[in-house]
Amino acid sequence: MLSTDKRWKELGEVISGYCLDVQPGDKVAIAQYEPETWPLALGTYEAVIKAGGYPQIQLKSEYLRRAFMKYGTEAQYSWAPELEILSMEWADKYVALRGGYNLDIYHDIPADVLSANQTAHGVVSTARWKNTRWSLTRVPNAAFAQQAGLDLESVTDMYFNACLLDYEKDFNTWIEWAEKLQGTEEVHLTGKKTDLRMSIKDRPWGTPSARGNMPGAETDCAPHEFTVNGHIYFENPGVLGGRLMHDLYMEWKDGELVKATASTNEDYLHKILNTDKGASRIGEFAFGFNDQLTTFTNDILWDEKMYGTVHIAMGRAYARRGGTNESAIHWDIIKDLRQEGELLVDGKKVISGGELLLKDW
Amino acid sequence: MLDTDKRWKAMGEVLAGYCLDVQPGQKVAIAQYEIETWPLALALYEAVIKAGGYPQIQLKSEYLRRAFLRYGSEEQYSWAPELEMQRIDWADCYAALRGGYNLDINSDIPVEVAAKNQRAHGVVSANRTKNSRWVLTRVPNAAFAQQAGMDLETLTDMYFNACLLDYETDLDRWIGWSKKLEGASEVHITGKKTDLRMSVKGRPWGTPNALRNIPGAEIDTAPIVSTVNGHIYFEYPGVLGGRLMHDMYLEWKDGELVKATASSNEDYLHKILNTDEGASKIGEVAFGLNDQLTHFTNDILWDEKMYGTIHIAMGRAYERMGGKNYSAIHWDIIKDLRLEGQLMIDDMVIIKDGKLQFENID
Repeated sequence: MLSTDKRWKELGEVISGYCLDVQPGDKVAIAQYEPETWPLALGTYEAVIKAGGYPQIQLKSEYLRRAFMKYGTEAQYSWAPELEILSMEWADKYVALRGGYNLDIYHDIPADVLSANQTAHGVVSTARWKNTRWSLTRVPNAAFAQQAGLDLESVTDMYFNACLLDYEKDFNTWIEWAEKLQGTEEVHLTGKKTDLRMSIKDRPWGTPSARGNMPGAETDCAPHEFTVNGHIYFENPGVLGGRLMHDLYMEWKDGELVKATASTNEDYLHKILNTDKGASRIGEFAFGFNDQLTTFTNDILWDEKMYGTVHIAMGRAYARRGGTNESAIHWDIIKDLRQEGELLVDGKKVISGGELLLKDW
Repeated sequence: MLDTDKRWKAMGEVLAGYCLDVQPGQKVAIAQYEIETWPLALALYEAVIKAGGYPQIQLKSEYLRRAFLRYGSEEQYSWAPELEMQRIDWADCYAALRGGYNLDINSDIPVEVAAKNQRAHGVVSANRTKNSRWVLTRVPNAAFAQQAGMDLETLTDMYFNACLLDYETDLDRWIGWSKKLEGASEVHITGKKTDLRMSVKGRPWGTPNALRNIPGAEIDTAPIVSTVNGHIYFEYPGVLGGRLMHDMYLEWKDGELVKATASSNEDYLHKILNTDEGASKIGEVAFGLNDQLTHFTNDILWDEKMYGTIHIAMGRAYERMGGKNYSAIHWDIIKDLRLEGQLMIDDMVIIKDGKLQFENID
């Protein structure tokens, strides 16, 4: 079970150095999700030691989560895993190495059981962001390749290419590009069955980084909800809770959703958008920078960083971007501009012909 | 990475039920050593949940230990892993599922570095046995098959056969056998280049079980050190610290070691036996009961349970057996009686022609 592909070691260095900035004496909790993620767990463990830190690995898996829901009592599947919480309190830094998994693994688990378990695991997430500097990556494995509709070698090569960047040079360029957007007022998106406008006046754009999510990066902002007007069509399916919604189309008037259709799982789409008041409104607008991400994988962590695409999030906005939408959901959906469409900000082209044009600003 | 061999689930039930006796509400720490041990980790996790418990898995590996030794500062490799200590405080029960590993993995690590790390990890072991019910099993994987000189499938089948016993009837029978030895005075081992006697007068015999070590089981006692007289030859190599000592031969006079030879690693053998005063003296004599264990694996946890073999341990004796050897080492060495030799206890023939003879003893 040793992979001698040196890129795992390099990525371990990126996670320990760039993402977590591990310092001598730092305690680092590594959550290895799925056994196949082992090569990266080992690569990260080694890099943390080289940086003078003290790593420990906890094994997690969707198979384990399933065991609680399949065989446990309510008290058991509603239990917030205590050792994981202890490890968050212990750690200075935390990284989640999440392998892919069969999204249908919970096909026979009732929704209320899933939701109780999800709530319990939320306690760990809270402990994580309260106590640690953290980072998250989705690691390719056989299940992930299948989800992406690719072979494992190609998806793994794409992962390394997208993660093993020149973090001095590439990011400085991206940060400069994003800086050019500060102080802009209006986003205008056009394309196939798409013409959508929203005001972003006085709302800041985020600085692209891959520290919290690997691979990176994106720049994002929180539009003024009630200025959203127009319609949008999505070339690739929306994905939530393991379900795909094809041919998604949505239309707003002064921020109110007036139309929402899909050729598959339309009922489910309506259910999501009715979660609460904020769920049918746009909480985030963003676009990706990473030109090594060239193929959709149906995983939002990767796809939203893709060069030539934009995404909106239904629901909750980030308060640090001045957003006020407090919905319980935050559902990212990708719009592909690589074949058709443009992103204009204050009338100037940001994406056109599938290329980022900020360098020309 | 899902193995649908249902015997893993059956093993999980044995570990959670028979070994750890997990009760509703109990917290169970599972240490998964090596990635390939995953099918058993998952099965045990499931069984703990079915028993009403709360499992959590910590991943360990000799690769991880090596990372500390290879890349860490002295402070780092001498560090007792804190989350593991917390885990032990947290847990009511603890299971170590140890995969095999390449015994030469630390070939380039200086001995003193490995020793310091070993001491740091010893803190965890000491706490483990103090605070929680625990069980330890060596789980077959590719590295273990290679160490055993077997293919993985045959080895795995042997593991399941040796562990998935009828724990009601088999153990009752074995416990009945061990009772026949109570009050015995002398152990006498004969065989190839072997004639060894020792007194066990007043010393109790252990009750066989597979609670702490699976597969089980053995019956053991602590001989009176100063009464050991004679010599013994070992058909299979002695194994310690990843080194093999072939054709080992040891000889004592009134408990004092007078000869110790081996055809390989003899220097290392002498070094071990000179660790301290007790290291050259016998601390334990025992024999295995598990007739499903038919092949040597060069792993003491399995081999010492093998039917038709006996073993002695150099060094530390168990106090619960009345032993008084306090050496820092406890090194088990297996003597095979299946082809030649016999074990007598007083006037009872215990092993003859490779078979346990308890059925013939009243």
